[in-house]
Amino acid sequence: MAILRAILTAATGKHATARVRVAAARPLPVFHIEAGGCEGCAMELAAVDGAAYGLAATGIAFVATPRLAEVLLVTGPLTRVMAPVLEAAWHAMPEPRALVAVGACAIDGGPFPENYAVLGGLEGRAPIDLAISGCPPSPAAILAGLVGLVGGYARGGSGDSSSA
Amino acid sequence: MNSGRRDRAAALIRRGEAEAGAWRFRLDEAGWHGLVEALRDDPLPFVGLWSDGQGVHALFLERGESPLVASVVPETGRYLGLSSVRPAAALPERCLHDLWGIEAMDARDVRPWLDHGLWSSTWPLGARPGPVSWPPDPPEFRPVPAVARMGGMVQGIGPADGMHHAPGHLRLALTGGGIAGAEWRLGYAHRGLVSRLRGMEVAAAVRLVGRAAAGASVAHQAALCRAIEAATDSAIGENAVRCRVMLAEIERIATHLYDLSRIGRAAGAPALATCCERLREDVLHLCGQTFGHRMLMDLVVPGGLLEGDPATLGAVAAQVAGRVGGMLREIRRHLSWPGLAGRVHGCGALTEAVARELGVGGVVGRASAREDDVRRLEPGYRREWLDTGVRRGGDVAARIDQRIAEIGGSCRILEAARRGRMPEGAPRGVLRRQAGEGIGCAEGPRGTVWYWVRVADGAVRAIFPRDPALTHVTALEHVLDGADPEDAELIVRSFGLSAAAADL
Repeated sequence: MAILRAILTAATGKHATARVRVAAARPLPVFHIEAGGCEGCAMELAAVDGAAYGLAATGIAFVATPRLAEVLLVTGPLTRVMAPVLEAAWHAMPEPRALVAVGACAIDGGPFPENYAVLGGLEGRAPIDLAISGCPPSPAAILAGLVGLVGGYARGGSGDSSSA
Repeated sequence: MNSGRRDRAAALIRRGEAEAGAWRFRLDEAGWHGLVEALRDDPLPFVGLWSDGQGVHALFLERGESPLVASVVPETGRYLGLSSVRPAAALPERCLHDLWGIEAMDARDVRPWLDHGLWSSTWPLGARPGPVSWPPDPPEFRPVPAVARMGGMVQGIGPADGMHHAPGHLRLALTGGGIAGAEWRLGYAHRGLVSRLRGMEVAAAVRLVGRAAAGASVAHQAALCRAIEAATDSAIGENAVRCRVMLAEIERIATHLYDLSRIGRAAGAPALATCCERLREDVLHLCGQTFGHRMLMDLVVPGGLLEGDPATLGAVAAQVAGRVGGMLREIRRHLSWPGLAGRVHGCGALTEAVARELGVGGVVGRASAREDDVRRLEPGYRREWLDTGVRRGGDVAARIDQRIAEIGGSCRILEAARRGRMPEGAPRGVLRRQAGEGIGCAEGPRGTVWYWVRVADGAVRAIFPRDPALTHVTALEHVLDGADPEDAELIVRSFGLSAAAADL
């Protein structure tokens, strides 16, 4: 339902006003790192985070520190200079945590594969929980992917509690 | 007398040996020293500095309209730097050294800029890349005597602050009385664009520079295409020229709206931000539906326009112009709210003299009364279309106002350009030659993008991209000094600085 609403929101240009019920008790906190791309994915994330998309209604919120985040969202190819920054952010996050790669660069390097300054994408370097492809992916695609993550988290959470 | 001194530097450059048409001249070492000396009194505007492995080249814009390049061969790996007479050359000198290992003598600043000591080699583009020492040296920041004297703190912001922008580190010295010194540390987003472009087929190279800076993708692709077309002596069709104009103006509207929305968020004006975000989304959504790419990437190709249909583009242009033009009044209404007006007025002022000295052009330069818009040089534009002028304030308010005026101007250009005669025929061209050297420019949303390129066998042999972002870095350090720390983010966003475009 939430996915449907997200896609509808994007397709019609109208803005969802109704609250979407999500299983999580609070919004899923996401920390975004742009690891050195053309900034296109970052601009589309800014759009997702802006007024044209109802991010708050999907149960996701961007946070300004990795210490509060459960999801690390990476855009851009991982440059050698940003690798220690990304690693520090990941280790600052509490468990459980998830890694999301948004855009071709973050997944496999896209147009910026490995060279003297760039390591490339996260694929093969870190376990990616969710990859959203595109160059750059549209805000609707990003939102749909993230909403799926909320759903996955809710299912995983309820599974854990029933087994406990 | 005065005019003689004015043109002295250009005349000195022309005394060199012409290497590429009548716009690039190779000087010997004495000639280069004479040029640097002449630049002390001559206001010849500096645009860019680069190397191709053999020479060091400096691009100037003579009388604000003709590109003029001076080249020198750095004997023993050194050349006389320009930063002592052109402060705008300081960062390009540091980039050049980090990439090629060619050293500028008499430079204002010789610290590394792009290279943090984490690359797989030093001087990666040079003939003999060097080994890397481990661990890397810690960064060396400019000392801030005010903090030592008066007490206070140094605040570092970034490179990962959770905001949706390219990584960069801003270091602010705070003494309680405001910002006592600001310094950027970039290089986090350096992707080695030049090393990737060398050896690429021209079409692939144009595709890659579409990913140099997302907010100026059309500008980068158009500037490189013009350089390639100049190098290969190719002319493109009239409708391809017109399509490039329309694409550039749509991109300008979208990026101006993006920057305005981010300024609005930083200024505590969510109503303004919301209005701009929705409007931008309308424009991008329409572009995505029509062209399959929301940010108009890969529509500009060398020799013409990919799968271009001028009629479709004209229809999109009309829709964008109508929709955006109709909303401008509402954007202006949000601006007149007293709280916002008080916040942005007089904030982060950049004077015309400093803008000129640091080479700041584009929308920021025009908001500081600097008449700098290369659209008057680009094919397809008419002088009477460029009617948005300049602002005198130089503050955040002027930069907002300039952007809104230019959005209105772009709407009028879209209307005028789409009504022009559309000749029949596919707008796809072929390159006439496979080798040559050329230079091209495009006025991007945030300033002028320049490309110099040398082509052989249909592939790029040497290339230089110049994005305005590097000038914003230096200008921001100047403007932030003395500002209220609360306004730092607002001022940075009002420049539209893109670290991705500065690092390349």
